[in-house]
Amino acid sequence: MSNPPHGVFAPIRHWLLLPSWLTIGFLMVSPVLIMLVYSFLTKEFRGGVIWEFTFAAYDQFFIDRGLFGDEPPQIEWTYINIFWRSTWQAGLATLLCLFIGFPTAYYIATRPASTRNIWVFLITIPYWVNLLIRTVSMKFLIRDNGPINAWLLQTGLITEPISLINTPIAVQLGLFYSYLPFMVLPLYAAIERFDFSLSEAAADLYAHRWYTLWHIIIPNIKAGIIAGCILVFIPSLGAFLAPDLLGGAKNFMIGSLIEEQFKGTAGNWPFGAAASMILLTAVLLVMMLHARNQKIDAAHQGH
Amino acid sequence: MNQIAIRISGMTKYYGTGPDAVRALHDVSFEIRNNEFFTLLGPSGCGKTTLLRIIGGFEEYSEGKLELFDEEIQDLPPNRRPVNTVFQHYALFPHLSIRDNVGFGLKMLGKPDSEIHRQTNKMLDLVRLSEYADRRPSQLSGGQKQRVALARALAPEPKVLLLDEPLSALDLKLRQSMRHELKQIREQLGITFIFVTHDQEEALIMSDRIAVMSHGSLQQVGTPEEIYNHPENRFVADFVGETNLVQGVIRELCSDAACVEYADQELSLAIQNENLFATEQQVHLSIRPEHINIKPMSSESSNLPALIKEKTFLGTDIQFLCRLKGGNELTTRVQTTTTDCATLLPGDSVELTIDTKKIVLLGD
Repeated sequence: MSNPPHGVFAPIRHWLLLPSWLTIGFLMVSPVLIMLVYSFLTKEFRGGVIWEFTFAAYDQFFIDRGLFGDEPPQIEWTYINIFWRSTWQAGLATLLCLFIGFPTAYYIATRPASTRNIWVFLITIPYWVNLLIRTVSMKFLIRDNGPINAWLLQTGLITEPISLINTPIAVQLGLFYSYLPFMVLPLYAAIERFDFSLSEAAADLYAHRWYTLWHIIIPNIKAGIIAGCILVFIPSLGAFLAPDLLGGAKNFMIGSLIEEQFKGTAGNWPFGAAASMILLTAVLLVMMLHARNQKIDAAHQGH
Repeated sequence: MNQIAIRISGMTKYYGTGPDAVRALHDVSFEIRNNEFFTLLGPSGCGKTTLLRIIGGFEEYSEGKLELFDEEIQDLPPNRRPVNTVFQHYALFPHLSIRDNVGFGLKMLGKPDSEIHRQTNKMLDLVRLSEYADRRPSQLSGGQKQRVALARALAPEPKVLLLDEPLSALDLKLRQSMRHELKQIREQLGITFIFVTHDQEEALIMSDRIAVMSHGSLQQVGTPEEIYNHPENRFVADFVGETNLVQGVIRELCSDAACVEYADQELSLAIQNENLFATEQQVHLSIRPEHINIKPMSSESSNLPALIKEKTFLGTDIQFLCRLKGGNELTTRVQTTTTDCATLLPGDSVELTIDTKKIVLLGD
């Protein structure tokens, strides 16, 4: 690390950091702490909480004690299944974003410098529209009598409309469309920084272009790939708009489950808070695993 | 015996198309002999790197022919040319160890592990980096990276090695020792080196032959001595080494000599080909600073009288900028140890003697 700057700001440097600390402290840490506390409180039937400590919410998530709570405890699979479904849906959406996003980012990063910004700009344009509107539009696009089916029927490729709505495929499309730029932008940043004389050197040393892609380019933009995957996977895991609007009841994801607990009067705030904490813990575990791998990598490289 | 390694004929290259096309190479033709240290020399933007990249297969060209050992190779991609490159900024693979970097080409050629290991060790020995085999490129200094890049390019035993300004990123001391090392390694391995540089000193020191380029055109091909002592045009005379380029007029011409008037003096100069010149023609004279002698003014002299305008101490040499009577200026350089001129100061009157045998006469 470089030494702290000794400039005109030196005497008030700590005060200049105050806005950052306030933002991190109040707007990021405290909501999480509130959720953590709520997850251990007792539910109030019209929403809200009663200030009585209990493990009831976590118990409800993991353990099945029968409808009246008097049967021998068994593992409750309902929520674990939702959690599992969310994980593979988010994982699949991440892979989809990676496969479409990588060539896109590669293309943009290899354009002349003067036109790259235009391409990046084009990628971000859809994000000027609200996510809800975009998800609803996707629904209109893929429904049975929507334009995609109409076109396929007209060209004679299919004779019956393909029923996409309320399927996992629809959820995938929704997640993919929602989070693609979060994959493209970090990949673009990484590929743009990549020194293409390395791929020339590989070609010069008799490497085939696929070998160059896998063994020279990808290892050197790994940080960008991981960043993109995290940025897509995490919001996908907690997404509720795409599964709600495109997936229907059968494709319920953890995000929708949490949303339901806080919406209207039917909810259960401590249970929603507990589900959020479980999700957060899972995400943190994945991140810590990644951080540990990176440390091992760095140690291996001798940095 | 003198086999031709590379033959380039009528090579022309445009960047872009239509009226905006930029011409990077214009009708360049020359031959590079086998086992030669051949240098492409020129200022930046002269097309030397473009030419090297064409030989390596990284650029296409618009017209012309490229032959490697009498075989046309223009359709071969870089990974199928028996030619390896040392890149300007090394382009070492940062995620691979030094050993894996050096062995990369052999691995791609499908050589057995034992051979890769043996050849990699040999190359690391050659560049004296054996103890660094398991490090990463980021742990090496600039000079070490340079040597790894060299070892990596040499490991597959290419017929021709291309070097794209490989020394430009090193500091002076390191550059000087690397020049020496490169020359030695080439002599040891006996393969053709094609070396690109903008540094005329480097080119003169290292090369068997030099091709001087400017604005995409070939200016002259020759040995360092030929290029330095007998430049064929003003560009070469000016770019290679330091020189005084002055204008004169031919007063008389015979088969092997010309009488040129310069600064009220009649200089008799030897010429190779009288057909290139005519009487009363305006010509340029290239006079190297070391070919002008300087001494304090004495009364009975018939030499060029001049005034010292500037004096520059260069270590082993002292350089004087002198103003002649007619307003012309000449730079002269004398060795510090062999002269009594060390005491001369700006403003002093001096007389100059030009070694006319060394003057090069250049048309237009």
